[in-house]
Amino acid sequence: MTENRQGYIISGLCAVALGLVLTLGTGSPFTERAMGLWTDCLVWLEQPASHLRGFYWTGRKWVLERRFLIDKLSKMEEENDALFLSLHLKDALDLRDFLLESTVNAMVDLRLPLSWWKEIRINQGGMDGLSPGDPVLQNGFLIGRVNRVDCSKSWITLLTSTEEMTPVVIRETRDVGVVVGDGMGGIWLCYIPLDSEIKAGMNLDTALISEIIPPGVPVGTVTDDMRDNEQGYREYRISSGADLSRLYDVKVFRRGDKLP
Amino acid sequence: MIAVLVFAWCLQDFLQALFLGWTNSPDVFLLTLLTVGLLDETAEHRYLWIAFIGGVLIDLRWTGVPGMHGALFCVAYMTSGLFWAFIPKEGRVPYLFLSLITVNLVVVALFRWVLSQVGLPIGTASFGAWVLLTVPFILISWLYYCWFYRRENV
Repeated sequence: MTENRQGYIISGLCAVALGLVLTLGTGSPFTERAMGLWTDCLVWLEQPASHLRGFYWTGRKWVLERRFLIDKLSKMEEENDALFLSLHLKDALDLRDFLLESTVNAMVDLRLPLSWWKEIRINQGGMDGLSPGDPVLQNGFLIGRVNRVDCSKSWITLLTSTEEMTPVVIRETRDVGVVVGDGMGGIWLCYIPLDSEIKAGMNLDTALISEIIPPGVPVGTVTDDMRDNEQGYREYRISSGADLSRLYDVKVFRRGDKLP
Repeated sequence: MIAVLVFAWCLQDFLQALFLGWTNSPDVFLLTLLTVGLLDETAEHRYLWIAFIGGVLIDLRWTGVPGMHGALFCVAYMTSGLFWAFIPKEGRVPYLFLSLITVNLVVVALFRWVLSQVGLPIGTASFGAWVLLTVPFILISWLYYCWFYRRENV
């Protein structure tokens, strides 16, 4: 500040007084004309701001509408599922009853040490509706197929047998391969295309290759253990969902029964 | 410095157009005027009239009460200038500058809020938004003064 503060104060008071005097012109035609002219001059400056505000509101509206539509869609899907379920509940119950009737429980009554990983014998046979080729399950997982059937006994060839080859599909990648036993308790996934990206933890189901085994029966999961065979194909060890070293009771799916 | 003040006025006008209907624009023009005017002690009369003209132009564009902001800015700048001149150079620390510009902005904003017909119903949310928008500009101004203060080596 300069020494002469008086001039500064007088200037300031004059400016304030002038401002107060100007307020008396509020609403006058001259003021309105001046406001209009000044607003027109500032259009170039305020136009981008207006556009930005417009973009914001449009975006906000779009987001809200999208959220509303997604909520509406999910509600409609839930309603559709409920309607579908109520419509087909009877069919589903009939199918469930049929599947329960088609499976028969059996006890393992013989498992020879020399063919421990090859076959087992169960206490159900032809009189109980079993036929060769019927899939055998434990805990819902495939463990083998019926090989020979007597009147009251049946021999089951296990997945761990070297004679058993089961076509499977990897649930995550839809690649088709073959599951083969090594005769020593191991199950290996073979003949997988070289470009397939198989990872540990992927699930295997029986494939719709032939009518030997119905498709979609769970087999097990892929493990980290792998090896290369002579042809250069990579083979993966499979962990069965069943406990193949302790088989006491199993379920046999009787294919003789036709689905409804 | 005139160019800086013109830019500040344009920025305030742009922000006012951007936040129209949501909150008031930060007083970038007044903040710049205080920062520039208090540091330049050779032309206080000029800055006083620049404050008046800038305020009148804001009134002509936004309030419709010509002279209201002109008078308001003049009072704010004049009292700040007198206060600043009253402080010896050694006492003009950055925190004092920060307090001065903050008080000025808040008083002017409150005055405007009370005077405007739509100001009172806007409520705390709008004022909170105004505070959030104003704080960065205050910090920029304060940092500029800190740099200036160190350069002057007071």
